[in-house]
Amino acid sequence: MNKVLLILIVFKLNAQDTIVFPKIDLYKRNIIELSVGLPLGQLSDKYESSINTAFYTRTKIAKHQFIDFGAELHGIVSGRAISYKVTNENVVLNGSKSAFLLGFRYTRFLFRSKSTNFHIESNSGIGWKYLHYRKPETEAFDSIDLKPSLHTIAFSQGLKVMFYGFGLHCNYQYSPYTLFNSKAEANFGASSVNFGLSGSWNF
Amino acid sequence: MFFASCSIENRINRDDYKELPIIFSVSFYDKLASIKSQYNTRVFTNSFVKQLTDIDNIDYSKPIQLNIIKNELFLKFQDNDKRKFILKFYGKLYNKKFVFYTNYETVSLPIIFITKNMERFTVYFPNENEIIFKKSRVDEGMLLFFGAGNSSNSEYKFKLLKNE
Repeated sequence: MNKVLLILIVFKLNAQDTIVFPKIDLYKRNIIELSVGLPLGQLSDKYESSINTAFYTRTKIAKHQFIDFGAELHGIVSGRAISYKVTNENVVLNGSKSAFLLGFRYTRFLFRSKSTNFHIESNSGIGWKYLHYRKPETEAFDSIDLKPSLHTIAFSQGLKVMFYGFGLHCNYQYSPYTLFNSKAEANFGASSVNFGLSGSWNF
Repeated sequence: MFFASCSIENRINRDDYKELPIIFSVSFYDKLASIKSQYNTRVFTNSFVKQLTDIDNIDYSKPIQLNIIKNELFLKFQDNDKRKFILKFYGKLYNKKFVFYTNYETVSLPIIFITKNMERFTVYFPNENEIIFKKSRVDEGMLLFFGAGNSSNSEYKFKLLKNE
């Protein structure tokens, strides 16, 4: 009996509870990207290249999965003139100077180092793409309500390598400009590829 | 662009704060403070450790021991029944501070819906004899054109016990 009591006392003296607070994931929530875009295929006749800036905000949905929501602004370099159908007549529009993308991206970490300082992620995106064109500045068009910009849906798939919040990324973008618009050239082109730098922060 | 906020920022010069080694241990006495409510006869009590746990009978006559081992922080204390407790936090050790989070949750769909709930503790040693726990808390949200938020900073300062 004494032995049991002694064991109980010893157990009580050594009683110790460890409460471990869960590790908080401090993934970077605000992402800025700077990249150069090169058009592929038919689209390479429409402009030479583009300078892109993008801002995304990230929300965690599972352990290694995120949803990025954001926008990209593209400055078009050497936009070339295109032909555009206005009431059965072909009109030549000056080259585009800007494009815009608003959309979501599903991000999955393919690899993340134990210290979380290094990771490789895959970005699969969907969004609304807008390629801006203006109507010709001639008197004949002054009275016509013409907005020749091209709106379409865009899909993208990218890969990004990040180290201490900074890294490199490349992505392929498919935006079929003639899907919702039959007035532009039939084979307008859709594909482009972007290469650039990426930085991320928590404000 | 979407937000406008204003706050008063008191800049504190932390240049001469003590640098932290990778492994070290200090101890201090926590203080139990009573908070009286103006419209209620009940008296609430609060202390630094009490807000991290829901243990009510912490023995304040015994010092609290703090250990930092690289990126882990341990707080050791005991209750009135002599039961020992260890709280373990994962954080990051900087040159002159140790930072750990107890919560950081965000949903970011700008314009449509945004929420942020964050609670952060920063441990400083302003000199040989003192320890400061700075608690920063942000709770904010936005739904379309409606937004609300609340953020607070509070500091817990304790004298360190010598020759422990």
